[in-house]
Amino acid sequence: MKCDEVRLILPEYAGEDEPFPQEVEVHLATCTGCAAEERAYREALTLVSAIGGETEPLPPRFLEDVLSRLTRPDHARAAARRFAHDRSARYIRARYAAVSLGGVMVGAAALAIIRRRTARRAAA
Amino acid sequence: MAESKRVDGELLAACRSGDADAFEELVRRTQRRVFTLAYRLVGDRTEAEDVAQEAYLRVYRSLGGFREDARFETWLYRVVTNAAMSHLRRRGRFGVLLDAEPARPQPGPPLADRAADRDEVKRGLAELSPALRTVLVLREMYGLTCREIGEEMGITEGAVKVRLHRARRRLRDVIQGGTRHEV
Repeated sequence: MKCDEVRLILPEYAGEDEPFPQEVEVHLATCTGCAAEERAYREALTLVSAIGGETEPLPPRFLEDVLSRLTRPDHARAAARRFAHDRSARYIRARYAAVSLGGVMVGAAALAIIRRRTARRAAA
Repeated sequence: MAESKRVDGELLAACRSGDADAFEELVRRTQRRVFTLAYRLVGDRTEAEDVAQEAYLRVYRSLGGFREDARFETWLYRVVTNAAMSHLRRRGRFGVLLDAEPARPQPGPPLADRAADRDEVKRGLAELSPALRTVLVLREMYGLTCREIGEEMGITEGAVKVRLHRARRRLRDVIQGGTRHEV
């Protein structure tokens, strides 16, 4: 492989667990320029990963601002709306259930009456 | 400040039951990590503060939807990432995609010879476009898979790999001080 080809591939494998293809490995073993390039990627990503463990200082009053935003009137209203929506949804579901149950009971009663009449006619 | 303490099931249950003190404790324990991720994704402290606050608002609203079998921190990071994506889209900064193949960088001295330090890497990260920085941060710092990143960003796994490839190359160029090319 040529240096240009290898250098195009390097970022794809840098930082990944997957090993380089055999032909890239062979090239890196013999080309000091590409090997240095490969090392540079590895070092850069190691540093990125190391920075990942650091945290940024918080802005002043961050916690207070978060908490006050949660209790702001517009959010309280939104929460109340969600609650009302949930409550009305529960009410509608209960009403449907009651109507369905009523329907089933009426149907069962009608069936019982029909059966009784049929039995009486058969007996007569 | 109990920042190092993990958020456990007991605290989550208390938050779900509407315990305001418990939610405050949850924020205390996670605020630095949440703000840091937001900052790394948007690259500006003021904007990161907005993103972090928005993320907590989303957590507050949707904590009931969090499944106990998932790790809370992972879920939290996804909420923050999502809030950052929305923020960047609103600002029109997320559409900076990678239409043109960047110019080949000029060969420069190897990184090791320039004793690159963390500040250089931070500068390199800050110079990446939001689209590239996001994939690099989520992959290299938070260990998300390309598939998970794609889900959060609303792009395919293949697109994530392309961005990751370019982000690594761009970062390496910036650190190296080589030719800059817009991506």
